[in-house]
Amino acid sequence: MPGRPTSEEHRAPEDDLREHYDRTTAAPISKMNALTIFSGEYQTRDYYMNIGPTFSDPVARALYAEIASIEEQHVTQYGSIIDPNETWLEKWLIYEATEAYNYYSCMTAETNPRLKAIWERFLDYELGHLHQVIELFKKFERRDPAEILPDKLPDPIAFQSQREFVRKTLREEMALRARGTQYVDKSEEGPASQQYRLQLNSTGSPSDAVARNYRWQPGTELAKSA
Amino acid sequence: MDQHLGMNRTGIDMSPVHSKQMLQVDAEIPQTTDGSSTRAGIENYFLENADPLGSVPLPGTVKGAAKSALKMTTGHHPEVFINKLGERLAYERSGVRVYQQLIAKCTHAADSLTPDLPLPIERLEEFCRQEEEHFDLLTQCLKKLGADPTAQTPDADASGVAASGMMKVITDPRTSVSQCLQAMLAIELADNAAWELLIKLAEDMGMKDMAEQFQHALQQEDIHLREVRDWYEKKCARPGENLAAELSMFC
Repeated sequence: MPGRPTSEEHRAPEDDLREHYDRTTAAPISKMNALTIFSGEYQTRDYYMNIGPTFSDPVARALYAEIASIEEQHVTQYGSIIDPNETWLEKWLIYEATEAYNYYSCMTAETNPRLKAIWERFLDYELGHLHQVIELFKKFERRDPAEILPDKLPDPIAFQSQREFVRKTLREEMALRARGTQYVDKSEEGPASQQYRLQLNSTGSPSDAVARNYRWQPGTELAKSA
Repeated sequence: MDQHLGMNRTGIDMSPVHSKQMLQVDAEIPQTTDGSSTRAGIENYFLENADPLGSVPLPGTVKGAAKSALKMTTGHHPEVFINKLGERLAYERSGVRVYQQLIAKCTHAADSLTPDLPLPIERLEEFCRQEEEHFDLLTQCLKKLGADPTAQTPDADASGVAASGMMKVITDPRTSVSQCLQAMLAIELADNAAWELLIKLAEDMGMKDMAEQFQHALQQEDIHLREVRDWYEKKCARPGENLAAELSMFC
């Protein structure tokens, strides 16, 4: 099913920020989810920014630069949902817990024993880091880590087919756009993002150029007539 | 190690049901959004606005500059010659490195129990030494022309990029000797053609001594090519056999 073309995803910076969670009321899993998606987006943005310039093909370079600009929006968006009033040590504590939670999820889902052992080892490392930060938190903030950390580890992230979820999300949310900190219907999008997009796409869009007339074919498009 | 049947899942036949589904394209998916951008449009823009791949450095010595100027006035092109000498210099340096890597791989193969058996090491070491001699020869030639042998010329840059894939094949611990020989064959073929061209350029420049020295290098490269091709063909025809003993007869 169709998604939103990359060229339509650009938006003005003022439409990139969201309301952040409240550190005093948000559930620990919400904080960990925010950090997980934020980190994932950061990784993706860095990937496109680092790998794109290694290509000599100008089309590939332009395509990666365009996608990187979208990933940059995602990093900004998901960075903004994290409560900026958390103390540095509080953030550190949630970071370590999130890393442990991610490795724990990988370990739980992995069926290959060799790989499972790698995830387990990384989980062990992260638990070590977590305990280190728990001590620092107690020492310097004189607070109880239990007010930040969950009582027990939440259900692991389900590394399984999410096709139905993706289809449902596309069906229900493809026409959404951002305006200020809110999601609105396409028809209510503000002039800032529309103007921004017009300017950015004024000389065309690399992703449009690459997608033009492209249809996936086993063995590439050259195998079509064979 | 060379070839074996295994669970290769890269082909479409691995999943007949899913491949049918993959080929069913939702009609709603647009093949183009606004139609204003094309690959050719982007490519043309960059082709029109690209800078060249560096420049041939000016001779660093007065003697060299005087020689170059003299040749320019007589219709010769010392900058082309220096560019190509620089390319050859870089290529021969890479040649030393690829032979060193191949020797390491073959030495390891000789020590291991894998069926991927080695080539005659002494012969590879001899070829490696010759590549180094060629490197030294080119360094001296560039100095004689007043050019800087440490400079990377534009063609050295391009040829380095072209050879980088070959280098990756040879340095990858997973590749077999046979796969490395395929890359070596491409390297030696290009090497031979490049020496032939360099001889013509040296003759054109009136550098007879250099042309003769290059001719000697070409003869050695010719032997490299012949033997690499021979090893490669034998490896393909009879994978897993120890060619070291048999091939050492050629040495």
